[in-house]
Amino acid sequence: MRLKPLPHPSTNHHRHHHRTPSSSRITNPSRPSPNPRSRETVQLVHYSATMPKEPEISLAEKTFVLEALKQNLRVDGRGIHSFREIELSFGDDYGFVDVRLGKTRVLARISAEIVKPRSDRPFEGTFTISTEMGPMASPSFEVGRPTDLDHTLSRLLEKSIRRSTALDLESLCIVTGQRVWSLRADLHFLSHDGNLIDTACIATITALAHFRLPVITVSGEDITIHPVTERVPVPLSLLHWPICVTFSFLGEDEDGEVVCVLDATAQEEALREGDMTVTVNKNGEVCQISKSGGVAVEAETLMKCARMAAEKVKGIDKLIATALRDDEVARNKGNLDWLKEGKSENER
Amino acid sequence: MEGLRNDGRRWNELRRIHCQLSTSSTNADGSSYIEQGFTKVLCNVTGPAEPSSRQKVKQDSATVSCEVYFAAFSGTDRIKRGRNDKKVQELQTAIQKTFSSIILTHLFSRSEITISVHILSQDGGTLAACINAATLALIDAGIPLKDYVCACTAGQSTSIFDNEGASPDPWLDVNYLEESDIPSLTVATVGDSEKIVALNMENKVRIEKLEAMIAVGISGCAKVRAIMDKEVRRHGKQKLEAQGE
Amino acid sequence: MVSSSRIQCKGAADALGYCHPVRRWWVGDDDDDDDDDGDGDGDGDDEGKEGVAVNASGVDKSHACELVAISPYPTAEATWPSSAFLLGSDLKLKPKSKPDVEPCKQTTHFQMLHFEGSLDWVFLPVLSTSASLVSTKPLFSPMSSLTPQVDSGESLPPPPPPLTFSTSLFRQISPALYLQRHLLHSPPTRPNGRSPSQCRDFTLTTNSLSHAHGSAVVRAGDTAVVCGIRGEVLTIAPGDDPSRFESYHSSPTSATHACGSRGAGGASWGGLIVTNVELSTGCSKKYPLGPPGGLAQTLSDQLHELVNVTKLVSLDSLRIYDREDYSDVTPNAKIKGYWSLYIDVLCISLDGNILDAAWYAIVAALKSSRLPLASWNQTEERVFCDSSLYHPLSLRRSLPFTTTFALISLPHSDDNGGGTTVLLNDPDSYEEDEACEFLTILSTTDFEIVEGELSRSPLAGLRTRVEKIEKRGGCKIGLRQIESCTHQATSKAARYIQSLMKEQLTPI
Repeated sequence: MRLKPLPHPSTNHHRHHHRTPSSSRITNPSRPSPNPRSRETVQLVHYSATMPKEPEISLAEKTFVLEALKQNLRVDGRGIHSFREIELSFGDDYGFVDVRLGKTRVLARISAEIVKPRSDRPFEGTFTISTEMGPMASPSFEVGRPTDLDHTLSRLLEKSIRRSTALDLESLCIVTGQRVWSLRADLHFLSHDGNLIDTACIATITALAHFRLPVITVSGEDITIHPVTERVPVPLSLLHWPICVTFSFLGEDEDGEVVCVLDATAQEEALREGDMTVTVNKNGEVCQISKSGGVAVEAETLMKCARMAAEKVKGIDKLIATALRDDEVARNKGNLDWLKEGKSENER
Repeated sequence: MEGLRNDGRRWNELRRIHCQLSTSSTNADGSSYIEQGFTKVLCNVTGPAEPSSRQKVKQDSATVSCEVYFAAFSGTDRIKRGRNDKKVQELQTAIQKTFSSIILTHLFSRSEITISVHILSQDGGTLAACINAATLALIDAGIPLKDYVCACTAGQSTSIFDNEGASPDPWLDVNYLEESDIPSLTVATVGDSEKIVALNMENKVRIEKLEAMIAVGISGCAKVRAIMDKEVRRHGKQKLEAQGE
Repeated sequence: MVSSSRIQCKGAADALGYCHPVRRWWVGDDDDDDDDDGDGDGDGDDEGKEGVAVNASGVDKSHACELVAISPYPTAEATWPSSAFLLGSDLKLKPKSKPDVEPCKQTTHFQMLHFEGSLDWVFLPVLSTSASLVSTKPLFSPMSSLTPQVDSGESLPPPPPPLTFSTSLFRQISPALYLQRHLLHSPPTRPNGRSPSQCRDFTLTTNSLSHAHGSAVVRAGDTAVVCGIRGEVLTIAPGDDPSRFESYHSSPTSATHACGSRGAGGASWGGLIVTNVELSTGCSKKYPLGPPGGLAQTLSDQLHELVNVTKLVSLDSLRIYDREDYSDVTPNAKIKGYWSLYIDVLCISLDGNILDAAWYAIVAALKSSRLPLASWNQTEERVFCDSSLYHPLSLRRSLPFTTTFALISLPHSDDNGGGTTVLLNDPDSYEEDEACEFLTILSTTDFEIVEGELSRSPLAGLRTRVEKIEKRGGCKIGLRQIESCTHQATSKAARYIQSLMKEQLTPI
């Protein structure tokens, strides 16, 4: 029995599953994109019959970007170590989040159903992340033919979120050995302008933090799921919020050292000679590091990057918390009981 | 016993490394076999040759592809891993990306270099052993490389016995038991330069301890490089002498 | 008259006068080829044609040489353009007045090229397997470009002695003929230097893998095989009848073996031991990585059948009884479970005769495997393994060994029709490609260890029992040949057992 998404208490019962963000009620005020150079190719949604390769970047563009880096400048005017503006907007349903990082846009939705647990782990729920890149993100992606980026992305999300046990699976257990919650995160990539990994991670974590599980009462063999009108749903038990930060290595600065650029756009990604993804949480714990190949970099540079990532993550963490809080406030205008939310931990 | 790990090593001791080149000279252009402790890895390299599919043809450089095969008896449980197994794909991508940047691919356009790795026994440090075996096999095949790529693992021990106020030293070259117990990372450096070409960590570690682990890993790589270099030179000398006769 | 002159190749020449070129190098364009000054370096323009150098310095300068060739390919497909010269079949040097080319079934056309002169280096194009390296232009055109240096004083040009050329060249373009030539010699010999009844030396190492219960690595020539054995405990559900597990009937091999069939209805004695052979490991270019091909599946099946038909492993050592003390065997002890063995054979390098190597690795691995002692715990109702106590598997008393022969059919030289068949013991991959059929003999010999030395059982003289002969059809052989094969199989089995003894695995 698949659980339908919980309707918003103050609206009529809708049964939309994929709502476009323009129709969502609670959005952060959108700002004009700071990127003056628009990448039109990325926004086009028409389906050209198999366009397998992205056009190669021209020599003029390459020289321009690298020369600018030598002078410590980036094409869109940002600092070398600054993220683009992160905009979070939530849907009417819990667990639905739209993240924008400049022109990169990723949608995440969490859904839950009750299943029988795995036989070797009878007291844990399950959590899967599904990512599929299609032509909507970029004409060079094809549905059903996962590219290297696809594999890398799903592996990194797996390592960052699942292996680091961000989500406490034991809290998803209803009846040991028989019934557990099975959560599923679906990521949709709407637009690709670089740094899909970080955006996807932020989207997943925010969606998980936003999601609410319905309250359950077990009496003997029966499990009653209370609709949201009866009992306020409970948030998930997230142990920590791991956030990915990707560094791209390209060009040289004035000392001849390789430049570590944070939050690369698609153009910078096409020119990069190597990359490293560090996943940190706000407590200063590094959940995973992945640097496969690419240009060889000094250990100190990598450590500097890792420390910088830890700093940035603190800021992103605060941003997510603020956005969640704002969303809660907006949802519950007029509802005085919302402060008494329960937690989803089992009594054990 | 104080200061010794469960297999009797100190914190900065590598396991016994035994490596060989040209183990199957009839079937592959380059081949090697490496043993790090009980981790045993074989590697065959073919190429540069015609690419197996048109997608792999690149106009200005060679494509590097990697295939990893785990023997069913290699781990503690008998598991037959197919080609789509996650662990297999992870290793394949890691090795392929690492060597794409190290091999001088611009010398062989429109061709393909295939690295196939066979893991006979896993006892910790699998990725590191695969990278080392691939380096040796590429050297044996005569494919031009920028320099040696040597990989090693390091772990952050949580043992209380070593603690005399300061945090304990990270352990070099962790084996399987240690890997399942403590957080560890694999680091690969290029030649003598101590520059890192690959870094892989999948456990949680506090950021303050990270630097020490990486430093220990790099010093381990230097030791591995010395051992590999010695074997390459010995093998080369033997080959020259055989030809000279 | 010309005495038998030889063109000597740089490098070693073996007994039959074949020359092995030690170096190959790139030769230049056509124009650079009349390298008659004896310099012979040939590093002209590096245009990318590959050649083999044959040092012609031994040629008696007074006589013209003749180069004759036979192409195994029909003209239309030939990578030899019509003006190219082809390589001769006559490998021995005899003075000839006209070319004496032995007819070969594969001949489709040949051309003669006749040249004279004292050339110190002759460059011949080589048929290369890599597509990009095939040379399509002849390295030098017929004799007009060569400067003849006929010895003055003879009115007629003397009959040119034929040339030898490199063996690897001949072997590449006409492998079957090359092999036949060797075998037609007296005494017959093989290109790898062995006699037809001689098998390769092998080396055996056991227990090198730490995670497997038993393992063996066998190397025979360039064929290397690793075998690992893992045991898993199979518990019988309370209602199941254990005798069902023990009846033997063939069950699918692990190429199509699903784990579920073990516990459910499909289990059988054949299902307790699962054999699997992996050839797609990059051991040979013929077996690329991917799902197992025909040979891998056939081999898995063959080995599975062999293990079960020969009852190699004694069933009793696989049973887990319901008793605490193993020393007293009560006939009513209930069987609570079985050890299920997974035999994985991995081929590291393939140079022919994988079956023998794999079988031998399996026997050695089984011999060396040690399973933990398993017993049934009444209170927990589960099988417990004692990790400190190990016991070896007990195999059957006289171990069977396989010996594989390749059958090569030779045409009769007097063209009477009907040829002879030669059996080659332990073929390598080159001979396997040329063979028309294979013969496998599974035999055991009763051996006794007397004072540490192997000797045959004195009771009935030589007691060799042939357990299985497999010959699937193709060539004809006689009884005497089969007898000699069984003798060869016996001596091979003796060597196997000796090397098992060296590994301190008591063979009996």
